[in-house]
Amino acid sequence: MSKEVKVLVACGSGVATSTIAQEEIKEIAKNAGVKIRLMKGTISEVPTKQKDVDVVFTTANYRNPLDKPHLSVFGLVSGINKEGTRKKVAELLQKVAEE
Amino acid sequence: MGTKYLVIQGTADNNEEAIKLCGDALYKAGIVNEDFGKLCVEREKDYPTGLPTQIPTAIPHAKATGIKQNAICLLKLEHPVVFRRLDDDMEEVKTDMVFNLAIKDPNEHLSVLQKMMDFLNNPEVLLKCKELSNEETIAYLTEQLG
Repeated sequence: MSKEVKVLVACGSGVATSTIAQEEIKEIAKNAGVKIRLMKGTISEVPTKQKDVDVVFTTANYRNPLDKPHLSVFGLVSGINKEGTRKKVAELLQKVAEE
Repeated sequence: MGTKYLVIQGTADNNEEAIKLCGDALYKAGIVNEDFGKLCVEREKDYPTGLPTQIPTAIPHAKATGIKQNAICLLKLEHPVVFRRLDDDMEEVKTDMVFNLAIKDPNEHLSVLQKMMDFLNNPEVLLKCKELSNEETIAYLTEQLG
């Protein structure tokens, strides 16, 4: 039984794009058979909030180094290369779940 | 309560002026507080919202109190202005269509936000928005986004 993965989804204001990405990630996790718990936040909260999660997804670019695995999921929001991004999200979630 | 759409036309020299035009329109419509435009301008500097879609657009917004209703103000500009990109703030897009989002409750607004991103990714519907009058654009947005 793989563990529950704690996920942080962050965007500029924590209002618009992270909400869209969050819904997408819920669905991807379900299809990938990974149990997740979601937290939403702003980019500026990432350095502190990463401590409480296993993986970080951001919709905007984030350049600072992180302790936790991180993936930019702009594609889920914009629709640009959405399938490729979905695949990467699923792979990362499965990898973290098995650790 | 459904989403309210405003459509305006204007000229702006830069994205700050463009966002203020939207903020003022939303304020005059009684949807947001007077400082909403300023909050969006400030946020745009730290976290830009330009979208590198086939026809580039921008979706300035901010977390704000006092929003009465979920609303989207579309500004059709006479000349395009530069926005830095949401996914890469070292890159820029030029757009003459700015969608200023006033989001009261993102969960309630979710289906509109999702539909809007598909909408912004579709050159055909964006071109149609450009052709239509302001009134017609409001009807079109309501029909497409709900």
